[in-house]
Amino acid sequence: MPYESGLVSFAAFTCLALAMKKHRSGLEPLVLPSERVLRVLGWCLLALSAAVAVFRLGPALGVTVWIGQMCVAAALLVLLLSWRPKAATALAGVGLICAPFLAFL
Amino acid sequence: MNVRPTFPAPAPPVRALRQSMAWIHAWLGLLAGWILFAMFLTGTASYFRPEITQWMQPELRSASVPAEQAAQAAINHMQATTPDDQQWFIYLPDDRTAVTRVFARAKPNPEKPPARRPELKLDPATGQSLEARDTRGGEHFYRFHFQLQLPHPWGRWLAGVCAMFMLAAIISGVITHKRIFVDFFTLRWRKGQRSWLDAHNASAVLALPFHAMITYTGLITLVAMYMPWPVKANFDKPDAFTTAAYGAPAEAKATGTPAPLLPVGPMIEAAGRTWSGDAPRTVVIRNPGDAASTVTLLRATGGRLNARPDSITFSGATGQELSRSPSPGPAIATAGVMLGLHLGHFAGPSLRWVYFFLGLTGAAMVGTGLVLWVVKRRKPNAAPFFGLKLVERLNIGAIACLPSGMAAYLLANRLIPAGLPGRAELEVKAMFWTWFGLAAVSLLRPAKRAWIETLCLATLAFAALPVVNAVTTDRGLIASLRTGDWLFAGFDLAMLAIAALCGLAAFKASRKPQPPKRKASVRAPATASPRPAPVKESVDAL
Repeated sequence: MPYESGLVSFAAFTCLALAMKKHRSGLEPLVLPSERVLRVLGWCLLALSAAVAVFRLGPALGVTVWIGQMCVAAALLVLLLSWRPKAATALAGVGLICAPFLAFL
Repeated sequence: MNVRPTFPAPAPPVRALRQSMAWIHAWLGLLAGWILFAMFLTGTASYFRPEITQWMQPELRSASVPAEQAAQAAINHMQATTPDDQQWFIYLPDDRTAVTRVFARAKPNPEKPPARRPELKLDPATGQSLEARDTRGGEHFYRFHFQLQLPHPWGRWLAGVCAMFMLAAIISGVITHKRIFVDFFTLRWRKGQRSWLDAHNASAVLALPFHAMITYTGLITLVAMYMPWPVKANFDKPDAFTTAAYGAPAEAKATGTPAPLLPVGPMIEAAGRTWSGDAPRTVVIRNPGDAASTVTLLRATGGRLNARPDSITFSGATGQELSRSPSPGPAIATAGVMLGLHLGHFAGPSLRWVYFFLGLTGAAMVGTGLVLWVVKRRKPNAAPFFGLKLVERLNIGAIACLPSGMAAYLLANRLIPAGLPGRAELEVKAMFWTWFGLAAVSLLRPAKRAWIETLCLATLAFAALPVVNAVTTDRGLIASLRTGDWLFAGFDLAMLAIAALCGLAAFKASRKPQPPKRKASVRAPATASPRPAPVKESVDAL
């Protein structure tokens, strides 16, 4: 299942969302890194998700797949974040951990 | 909404631009919205066009056969049944289509014009003619999404006008949306107009690359129809343009000297060597059995963005290569890639699902936009004016009744007897009678009840599909799970998922909207926000 690019961009968008003040509440037991760290991490992960797709599928198909999966990941994140913010954060972590394994399937 | 008496002072230029864009956005979106919603929904279903067709012909089962064998089996069948045809157009099976399909054209006969012959379905392995229920399958949704079931050329023109409105609405929407990054991840539920705007923004902004791509490439696909003048100004005949763009087709006149058609296997092998191992998708044979017969192979386009297939033409009598399609210039390659991006034929299963979900966000964007138009203009203590009632009723008809129509099309496929003459047209009629009939009946109910009840009906219709499938065929959900028939199992599960989605929508519509209590909101504390009270301002932006 070549969805690792989407999983990485899901984590990237989660970082970028949690770097915004209005999305940081409701996660109380969780200690979040500072906004700045999260923002840098988010952009790095977004770049990584592009690299993953391009590396796997070549530039033409890779960029297409990356943009498509990135859009779906962002839409799913916003749905989940509005409903269960903790679950969204947890899923981002789990997805990020699973992504390297998926890449070798 | 265009006149805003609360701002009498001359507006600064940026604000004026935003407001005029908001006006354009609201009205273009409204006028084209109902058709665009139907185009998005049926177009999204079309990403599974071959799968829907397979589901709608449960008599046929897929078998994986190499291209050489399928092509030769089909040719043998045609030579045994109608050897004197002018042309055989053979669509080979692939991992998404179960059967070989042949369109045969008889030699022109001046005395008796030949009757139009229906598509032949052949067993890929043996070439035996297959019988299956007559249906338009997934092709119906695909055709509807750009022809709108209207006579040519009106449907395509109307779809084109709507696509142009859509493109303008996308651009004006981006300009008018002033908090595009601040509200990037924002979606607040149960806050009335606020929530509809959030949902509209989220579905539009998060999948913006897809919306812009799909609208633009959809327009470009039919651009030669919408803007025929550049071709007319530069070429005497349309054929001259086609030849210049795609190369001359190898059309030799039949000589009348009979010559046997050589086996097609070596030609497919030779083409595969040129195409780095790709198999052909289509085999076109002209003047079979004649010394001047030709075999044209069209390359499968799976895995490549360019949807225009390369082709190689061989002599059917000698097996020599006669011509091949020229390597496309930059303009033709661009057009091919744009078509490919729109159709998504290059997409494997995983990317196909991505396309499907992105298409759903498009439908969600149009749907929430239409609802927002009404919610924004509804006054709590005044009777709704005529235009508002009209738009709300059209919204119910377009958004809540179309899913039932699509489900009715699929249900009709299982419920109309398989041998009934004219059943394919009956299936199509079932969709439109259900869709428009339900919209008409919903007029009898108060608007809020109409939303809930039509959505409940859609839920029931989609939930009924796996049941009816299990009762009328031997390929129900349990049987297909047991035999590993993932297409049928996936289809039934997808129908259940859509039913759940419609049910959720009905449930949400039935809940009373929360009174706008101003308790300290957890998500967006006004005191912590650097820009206090942004709510009114950004609601006004649309």
